[in-house]
Amino acid sequence: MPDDKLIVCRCEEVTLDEIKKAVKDGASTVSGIKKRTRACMGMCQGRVCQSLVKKVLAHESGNQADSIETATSRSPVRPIQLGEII
Amino acid sequence: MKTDVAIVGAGPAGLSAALYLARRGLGVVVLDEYFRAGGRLAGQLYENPKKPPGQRLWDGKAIAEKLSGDVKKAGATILTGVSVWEIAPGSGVFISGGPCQKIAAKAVLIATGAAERAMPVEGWTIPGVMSAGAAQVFANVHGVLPGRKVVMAGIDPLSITVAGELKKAGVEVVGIFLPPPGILAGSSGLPQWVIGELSRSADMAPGTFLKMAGKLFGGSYREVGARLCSLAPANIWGIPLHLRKAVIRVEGEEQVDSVLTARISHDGKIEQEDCRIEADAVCLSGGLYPLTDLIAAAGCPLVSMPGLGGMVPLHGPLLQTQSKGVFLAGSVTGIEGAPVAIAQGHLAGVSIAAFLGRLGKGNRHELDRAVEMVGQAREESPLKFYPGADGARKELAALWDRWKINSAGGNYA
Amino acid sequence: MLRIKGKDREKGREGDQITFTFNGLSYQGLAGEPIAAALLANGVRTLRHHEKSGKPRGIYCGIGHCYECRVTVDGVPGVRACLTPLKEGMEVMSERAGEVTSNEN
Repeated sequence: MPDDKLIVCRCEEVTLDEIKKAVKDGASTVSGIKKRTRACMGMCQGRVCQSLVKKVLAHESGNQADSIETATSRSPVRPIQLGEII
Repeated sequence: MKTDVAIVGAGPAGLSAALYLARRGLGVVVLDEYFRAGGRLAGQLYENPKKPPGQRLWDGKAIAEKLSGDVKKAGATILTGVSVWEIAPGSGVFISGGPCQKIAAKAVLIATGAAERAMPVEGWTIPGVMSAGAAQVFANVHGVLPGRKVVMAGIDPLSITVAGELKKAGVEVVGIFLPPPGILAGSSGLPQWVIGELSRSADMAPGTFLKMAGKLFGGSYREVGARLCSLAPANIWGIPLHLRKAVIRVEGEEQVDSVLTARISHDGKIEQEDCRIEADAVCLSGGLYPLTDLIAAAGCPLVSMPGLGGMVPLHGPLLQTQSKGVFLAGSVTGIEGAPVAIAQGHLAGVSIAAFLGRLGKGNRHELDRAVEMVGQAREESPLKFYPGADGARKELAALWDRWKINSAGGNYA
Repeated sequence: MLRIKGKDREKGREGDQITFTFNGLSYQGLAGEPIAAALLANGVRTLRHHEKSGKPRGIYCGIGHCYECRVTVDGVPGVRACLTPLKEGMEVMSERAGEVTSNEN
């Protein structure tokens, strides 16, 4: 299966297998996947991989991808320097 | 910096809102991360068969130039190369990379547009693999090709359009293939589903290129059936369109040197490895989705609307949101294309002027007219990105009404 | 060359031919085009190496969403090459595995 090594989150190099495992370990939301694997937590903040993570969650739980909630967006939504907020 | 209205996104929606508001005499600052105004308009060039002869050509680059020129002439400020990282409802937006840290504004328009859906393939991090949209920007806007020999994975209106544009620019487009079947490609990896989607969007497709695709797939079911049974690729402008073959791996160390393809069964399973194709670039296409991170971080609820390309922020018929003074326009409200975005931008402009009490008595009809113009733009729209957009819009309107009834919010007549 | 030839393209919207460096090597590009476009035109596809695995990375989304193309420009790290216009004499450096990547200004 080529699935094993397939990178889902480019920023943090998280593979499909690692995300599937996180679901098996109990993750049921995008936030759960983020905390367990760091997928969606890199520089792009999930702009690239969040839809993929949702698909894995939906598939593994037998739901529709659009029934999986989007992770909460928090500001800053772009990487900024600390000096810009304090 | 202080102004009446801060607009996030200098694409078709943001610019047309800016034009209306600046002409009404309001202070307007338009912000964009890109170094040039125009958004995705800049890469677009096609003919709209739904328009009367003489008005059919859609030259996005020229439209973008004219719009941004007019916006500046009308007195608005356009700041490019500036990232907005937070909306402060009621008080403006925070920015990075600009002349100051905050744009104080009485109203904010979010026109952040769309982002591309990822379509992963093993090896997709190798340099030379990029999104179809990236290839389009580099070729059409900057005049630089993604490679000499390009493979496209993912079959949709965007990938077919980009493949045609690359070929026209002198690239050898080896073929357009299915993405690797599996959880991540989902239905986009199923030959039958892909044909259904293509025929639904292609009967209204822009340009000769997609019209040809429309003829191929929209023609007869018998023909479609034959295509499905046959392993031979369809041909569009000399580009093989493989409905029964998928790219299953990209290979190369420092950069792409080849891709591995596989034969795909009717129901989207790998039958057998097919061949290794030499290529120096691979484009991946998975469609577009509304870019909502900024508006969602402001607390605006998102609702799932597959007909509009994914999660969209809940908004009202005048493009208002639950946050007072925060408005939306363009693809962030659903993927519908530039002409709709322009009409929505105008509506948002009128709506914001009304919110700020600057529409003037006796000008309420402008709001109705602007709503009509959005409807008209939808009807004339040459390309459907997602089937079911109309139904999704109605559902959204109903959700908004329900929210309004259940809350004290929304001071609109 | 990957640059499209033709009347429209040659006139272009970007400016004069200028010289810049990438990882110490000298290249030609057009003033005002994105750094990523200038490097692609020169056949340079690897813009950085992944911080953890060291694997090469290049342009991915082309419009500032993915941050894959981040490079160090004149000493400022984390700059997106797809969004940053090229200037004469710019010193562009690849960010390599093991280096701390700080954020864009």
